[in-house]
Amino acid sequence: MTARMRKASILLVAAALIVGLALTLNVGSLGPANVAGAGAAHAHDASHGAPADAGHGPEHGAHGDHGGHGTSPAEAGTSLAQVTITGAWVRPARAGENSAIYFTIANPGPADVELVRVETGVAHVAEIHETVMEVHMVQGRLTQEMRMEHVHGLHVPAGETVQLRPGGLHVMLINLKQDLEEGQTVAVRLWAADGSYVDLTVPVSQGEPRG
Amino acid sequence: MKRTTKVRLGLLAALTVIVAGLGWLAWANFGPKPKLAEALHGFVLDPPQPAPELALTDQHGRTFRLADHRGRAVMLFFGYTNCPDVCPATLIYYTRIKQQLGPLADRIRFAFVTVDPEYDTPERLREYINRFDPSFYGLWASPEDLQPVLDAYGIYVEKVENENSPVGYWVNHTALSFLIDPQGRLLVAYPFGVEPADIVTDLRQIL
Repeated sequence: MTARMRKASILLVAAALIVGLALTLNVGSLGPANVAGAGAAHAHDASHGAPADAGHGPEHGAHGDHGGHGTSPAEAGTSLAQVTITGAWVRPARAGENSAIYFTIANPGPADVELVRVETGVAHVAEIHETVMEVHMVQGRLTQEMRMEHVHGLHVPAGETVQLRPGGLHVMLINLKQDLEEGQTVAVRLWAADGSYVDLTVPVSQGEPRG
Repeated sequence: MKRTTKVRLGLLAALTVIVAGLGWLAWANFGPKPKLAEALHGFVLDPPQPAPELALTDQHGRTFRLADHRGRAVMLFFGYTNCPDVCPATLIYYTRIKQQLGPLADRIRFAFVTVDPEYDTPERLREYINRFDPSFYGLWASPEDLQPVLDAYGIYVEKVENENSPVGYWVNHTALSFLIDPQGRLLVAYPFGVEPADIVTDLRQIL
């Protein structure tokens, strides 16, 4: 066979292998590998959006001093002034129990946003958590398990939208101080790493607000 | 063997591999579908096995047995009432499934088994279930009686101490909804997150 034919054949085989590889990778549906914790492999809901890093230091959008508690947005950073929060709701529950707040946060930029704290008067503790599904071996048997991880900094990069939803990220309200009943609203303040904050009025509802 | 022959054979081998690969891809994507008109949207037990029997106490103090529900399907979930996210979400999904089934809803029962029987008494279960749908079952068994059921269904339960939790701990647990058909067979396990509309599609084929 001529040198030209040989070269052509090699190119053909290489091209076929690349196409095959591309198809195979497209068929798989594993999302970003590691989120908020090391160790076990997590299988994540693909509609997760941006990964939430645990303990990720604020590297963007920190203008001037970081301020402290009760700093107005004008003095601290302004990252939360640029975001849009929609679809917020909180589950009904009784005093002494737990509940969860969900919402969608869209960050058009230019700064990255990192939610680090949540304050509300209706619960003793409010923390950002993520429900994570894990598959692992327990005593020789394959086991599926859902557990919650405390997310210390919820990262919303510029240009991205993060959705807090059942089975995924949520603001957990721990040990409610009062009953939450449908029809009520709850005042919640979200704090970002740069010291800016935003206040939400969240309706109590058994599911996503429709429309 | 002459060099040209070796090269030709090598090319032929490569070509065979490529054709085989493409053939496999085609089969996977366009090959024959499984027996049901549409594939079920969860982990299918094939062939279906008799569902492990339960003898649990419901929120009204009556004994709940799968055998008593032949002729109806049962959707079974293992959780606990202090669970803020997955468990209430699952029960909400069940109310939506029931709504979307319309008249067919009479042929299925929804049951919630607590994996935290020390805190979740039948009384507490009744109050919890009522928030979603009083016709759902909230099932309880003592830790000794519960363990064989957990083992039979492969339910992993882990209490994790946490000072923030109002009861001092969270419970990590397997979150699967088990569908038992009207003949008492375990048909499919739905992981958390399957859309109610998809489950309704499956139920319409089974009920």
